[in-house]
Amino acid sequence: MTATAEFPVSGSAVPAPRPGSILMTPARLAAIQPSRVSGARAFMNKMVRERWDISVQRFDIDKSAAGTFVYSIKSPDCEFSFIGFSFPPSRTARTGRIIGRAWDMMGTLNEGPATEADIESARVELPKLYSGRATPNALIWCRSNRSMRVFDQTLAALADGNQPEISALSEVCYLMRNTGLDGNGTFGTRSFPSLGADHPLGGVLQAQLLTAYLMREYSCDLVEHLASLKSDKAVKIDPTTRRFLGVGNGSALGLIFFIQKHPRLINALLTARENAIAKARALAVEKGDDRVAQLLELVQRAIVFRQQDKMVYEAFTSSQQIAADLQQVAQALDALRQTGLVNGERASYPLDALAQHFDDTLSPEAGEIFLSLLVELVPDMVDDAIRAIDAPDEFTVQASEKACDLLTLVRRDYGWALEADMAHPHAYRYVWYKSETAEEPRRGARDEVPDALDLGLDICGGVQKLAADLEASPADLTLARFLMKHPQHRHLVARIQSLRGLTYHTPHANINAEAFVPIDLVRLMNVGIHGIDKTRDFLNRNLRGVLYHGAPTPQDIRAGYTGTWFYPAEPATA
Amino acid sequence: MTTLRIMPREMRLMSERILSLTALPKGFFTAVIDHVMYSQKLAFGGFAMLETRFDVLAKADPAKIAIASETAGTLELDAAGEHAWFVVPTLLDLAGEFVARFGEARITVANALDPAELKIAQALAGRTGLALTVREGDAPVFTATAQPLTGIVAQDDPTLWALLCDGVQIDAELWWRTYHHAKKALAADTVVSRRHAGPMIVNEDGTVIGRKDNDDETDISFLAAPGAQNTQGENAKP
Repeated sequence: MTATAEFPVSGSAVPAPRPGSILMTPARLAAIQPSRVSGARAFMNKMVRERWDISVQRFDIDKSAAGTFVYSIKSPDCEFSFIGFSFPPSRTARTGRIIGRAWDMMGTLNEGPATEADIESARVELPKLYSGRATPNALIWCRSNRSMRVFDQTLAALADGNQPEISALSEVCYLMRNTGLDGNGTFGTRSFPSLGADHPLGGVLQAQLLTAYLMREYSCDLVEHLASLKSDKAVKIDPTTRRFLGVGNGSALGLIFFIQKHPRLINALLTARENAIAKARALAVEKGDDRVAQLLELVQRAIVFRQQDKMVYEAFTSSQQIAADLQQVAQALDALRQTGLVNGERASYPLDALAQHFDDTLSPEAGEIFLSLLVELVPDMVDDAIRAIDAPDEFTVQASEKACDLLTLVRRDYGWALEADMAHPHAYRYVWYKSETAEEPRRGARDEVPDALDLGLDICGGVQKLAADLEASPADLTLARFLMKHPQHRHLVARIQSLRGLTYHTPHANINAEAFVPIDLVRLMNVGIHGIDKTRDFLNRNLRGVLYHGAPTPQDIRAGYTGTWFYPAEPATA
Repeated sequence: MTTLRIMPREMRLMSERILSLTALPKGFFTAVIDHVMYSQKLAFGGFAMLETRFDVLAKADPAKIAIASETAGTLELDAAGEHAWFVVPTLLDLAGEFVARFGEARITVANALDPAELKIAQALAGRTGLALTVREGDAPVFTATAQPLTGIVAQDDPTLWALLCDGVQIDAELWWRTYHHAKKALAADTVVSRRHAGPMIVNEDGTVIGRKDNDDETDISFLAAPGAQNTQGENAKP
């Protein structure tokens, strides 16, 4: 009896990327997990691959934590500098929100080595924030705050000649938290599109991600430096612990404006991930396959990571539940490795069969972790796709197209928007706006801020009104003439036409509705796209998490670190 | 005169906010915010014009723009007194339609306010796949032909590329007036509105809604008393 006759064969269709109707719902987008496509991982892989050289040039900081520091960052072809100013922590007007006034560090990432003129300009201009002006070689302005308790505990331990308690560190997993990364023309910083694909920081979000990594390094260097000023017996952080400490990140509603403003970028990143997943799901793995063993090892790493996660989640699946789900994944992978079977059956595409099974049986987050780890089996495809991303922000009208053709397109691609109940009393309950103080993005009940201008894009309402006006127009009317009569539709027509053929550009949601949960999309950006781990959620709108959790140190990068750094286990207690 | 180098992101933000203070529909003004920036780069009216013409722009009605006469490939557009910036989209659309139908377009624009500003259409045409030439006058005449898109910004839209690379030098006083004008589109910072963001909500009585493990050692009194304290940046504003 042959194996084929002995075991039924399931699933013969070649795995394909998921349709937008499934992936683009907010709840599903929220479940997407960090992967090789995510910014932090992609950028760290690049720095390691190219062996970037990061070093401290200046660290003139006194024991009160006041002073100046400079880092040099050398890619194979360019040098950058990170100039920063350290401030003694103040509890007055301290809040992680942009409206806060107390920052423990402010800095600028510049092209080229730091000059005294750059340093002095930054010293004057950075504190002005929106009314400051960056030098022409500046890419990013940033600021960060300490996690006071964990920073102080670490400082005290190091000064005493001891390593910090891992149990305390693991409650937040960072010493300082990013509270702002502004660039791409803000404050006069350089426009990112002008960098071009060949620039060392010309890829997706790379200038911001380098700055965030430097914040991680600075936080560790600062605590070691202050400990050494405090005591002669001070020690440095153990390298394993230093890797474990990422940089904190606080994010919220502004990311939803970002998603609305950059649909091509969102589409490109999600497309890269979905294509890679589909490719991996189609791999012809067999009994004893090394790729299955590799995947199993990654899943086991993720299990430990989740088991050790001490964060408290309000709305999200607990890490303990996810760890339990991943145990099922591990068992299924182990069975596949030993037998070549999935649930006792031979599958044309075993990894696809597993993914389908997990989709029905596991929490969405656990299922997405499996898919994210699958991507590690096709690394070159992912890296190539990321390098090829080009996502300009400009939209144009194709004026000779007929009204009937646009209506067909709208009905085909925006059914979700046409189906939204915009007559419901809660359809426009909320307004998206910014405060005059520090331009903080906010979302509030419309009747509580009646004078606030809505800065969000009403896709559902706009699409419905556009469709109605198209239906009432002669079928062969060109859009040039349609827009003369209906100029209010100009932006949406340009957007719809410009995004034609793309699958993953717009979340399928009415962001003004009572039922919309902002944190779903904040989480997409933070977790799936930026690659942040252990994201605690607050009030369904804010996230606090860890970026570069487990990332190689500059010494590791310089040496061309090999191995898996993400999903780090807690360092063993000495 | 002190000038500042201003980049596209800031110019777009300011134009969008200032135009949002007009009666124009959002779906329209969002699509024309680049026109101010192009005007500035091309040394036309730019942000000074946005300032001086704001009252007129605020009452604009682009739906009044109409076709006065039309033959194959040739068209007269009556701008009905609307500002040139708001006529440019229609001009480019009709040029695009005619080029698609007839291979070229010849469009005369009459009755536009500040007709010299219509020339920004030349710079914007490239990104829509058109090459546009203009014969200036009170009723300028535009001639358009197809210019295949390459997907390379520097070739399709050299003005945008120059803006992205170098920004624009703008008189500092003008820029800060623009900045403060644009801030009117932002909402007043109130006790209530501060509850519309952040990881916790501070009630009027000082009680807190939400978890306190947010790790930022928040100064509750700061959150509960907006308006009395400004940000670092606000304090330093020129």
